[in-house]
This record gives sequence, C-alpha cells and structure tokens, in this order.
Amino acid sequence: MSSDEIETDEDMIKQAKQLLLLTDLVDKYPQVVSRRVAGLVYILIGGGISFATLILMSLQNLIGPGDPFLVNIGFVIISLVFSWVIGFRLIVPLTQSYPAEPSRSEGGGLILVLWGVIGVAIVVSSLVLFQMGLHLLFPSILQFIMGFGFTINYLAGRRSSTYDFYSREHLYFSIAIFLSIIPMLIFLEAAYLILIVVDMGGIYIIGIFMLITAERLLLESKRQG
Amino acid sequence: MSLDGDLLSALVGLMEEDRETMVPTRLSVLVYLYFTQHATFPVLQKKLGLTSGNLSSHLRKLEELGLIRISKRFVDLKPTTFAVLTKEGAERVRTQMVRMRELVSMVVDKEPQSNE
Repeated sequence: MSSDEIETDEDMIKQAKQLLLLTDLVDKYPQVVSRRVAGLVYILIGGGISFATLILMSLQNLIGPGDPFLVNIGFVIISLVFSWVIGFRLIVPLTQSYPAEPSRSEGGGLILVLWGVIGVAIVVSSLVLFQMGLHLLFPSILQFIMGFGFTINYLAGRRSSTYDFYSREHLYFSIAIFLSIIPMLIFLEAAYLILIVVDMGGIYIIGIFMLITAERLLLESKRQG
Repeated sequence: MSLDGDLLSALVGLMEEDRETMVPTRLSVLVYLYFTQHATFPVLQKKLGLTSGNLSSHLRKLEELGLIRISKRFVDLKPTTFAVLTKEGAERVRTQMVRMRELVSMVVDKEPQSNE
C-alpha cells in the first residue's frame, strides 16, 4: 500500500469515527433527555410538596391546627395534585418526540395503575388509622406505601427494553425509605420530621443526581467517539 | 477493496434501503431537529447552509412522510415557519443512525485485520 493510500485511509478512519460519534450521540440522546426530564420533574415535585407544606402550615397558623386527619389528607392530595400537574402534565409532554418513557406494554400502564392504587391506599389507611386512634402510626404506613411504590416503579421500569427511565436510583431511594421506617417506629413523635427529611431530601437528591448523570452520559458518548 | 470503497458501498447500501430519508440534506434536517426538537425556517437555513427553495422542498417531503410537522406562527409580528420533529421522525433517525453505526463499525473494525 502506498503512503498516499495509507494517508487517505487514515483520513477515512478519522471521518468514520466522527460519524460513529454522531450515531452514538443520536442513540444515547433519548436517555439523556429522559434523565434531564426526570431530574427536573423530581426537583419540581419536591418544590411542589414544599409549597403544599408551606400553604398548609400557614393555614394552620391562621385558622388553628384543625383535625389531624383532614390536615394529612389535605397535605397528601395537594402534594399529589402538584406533582401530577407539574411533572406529568407540564414537563413530560415537552419531550414527546423521544420515546423516553416505557410504553404501556413495557410497564408504563402498570405504573399508572400502581400510583392510582397507592393514592387510594393512602386515603384508606389514614381513614382506618385515625378512626382507630393510631394516628401516630400513619407516617410509618405512608412511608411503607411510598417505598413500595418506588420499588414497583423500578421493577416495572426494568421491563422496558430500550430506555432506562426508572433507573437504579429509584431502588436506592426505596431502600432508604424502607430503612427510615425503623427510626420512625422508634421515635413516633419525630416520625413526620424523619418522613419529610428522608422523602424530600431523597427527591431533591435524585433530581439533582439525574441531571448531573444526564450530562455525564453525553460526555461518555463523546469519549467513545 | 480500500477502506473508502468499503465505507462508500456500505453507506450507499443503506441509502438504497431508505431512499426517502437517507438523502444527505433530509438526514441533516432530521438530525438537527432530533437534537433541538423544533427550529424555525431561517435557523435551519442558516445552520445547514441551504437555499430557501431547497430547504422548503425537503421540508415538504419530510412532512408528507410524517417525520416532521410544519406550522406557521407570528414571532415579533412576522409570520415564521416552524418545523417540529414527530415521534415517528425521531424513531426513524435513531433507527437509521444505529444501522449506520453498525455498518461503519463493521468496516472500521475489519480494516486493521486486513492491514495485518
């Protein structure tokens, strides 16, 4: 092979590698978008729940502590509504071009049903516990339900063959939620405080972590090219 | 066959499989929209270095194929054409690029062996 031919081949390899970089970026991009959106959704959900807490506390200051059952239900409903509106109605549709979420056949439908069941379970359990006078156990039960929800999110997400929407962070978060039930049962009076610290802290950490790792995915892809 | 010949025949094979989107200009429009999701007509024209006639004919074709959506909106009181990538368009870009990666990797990986 002459030196000219070798030089041409080296140029072609360089250009082919640039093409490979582009194809790799295209392949990874839905995952990057998915993680960016998920991160943003979590941070906004955290913000929504914080806002709901602030409103409820302000209302309690203005009109008295009120019935603890109604306060809890109000808190859960406002938080769920904020989360739903912000996360799934405002943010996720912005990325509709990318098949970033698992489809119904890949576990997406199961997750929708799951969170419906979880909402009902929270209301029913609070109703039962407050009527039985066991209201101190409500945060622990709520925490168990949340941990269960995130575990199923993760397991259902594993069925998605293409995209990693419900990634491993959900499993770590659910383990942290389950572990926090132990101190909640030991220090019943501080249960709400532990619940807020673990759940809110976890939601913010997952959100920030997902945003950071989204950029890391892009960088990894560039290095491979 | 030399490396450039192998690469060329692999890419030509891919272009023949999908004559509608594997046209360089259409593919560059689709790839640009893949990363931005939507773009205005002047932005596409400037970024891809195309004439307005050339770009509009390719956009029309891509719209016919259902790979993009074209809409007109007023921006600063001026009518502006927007091109938005559809879900089908995103899937087509990804499929073709993954296919292209397989072909190019095969050729690039084969080359060191043939040199030895």
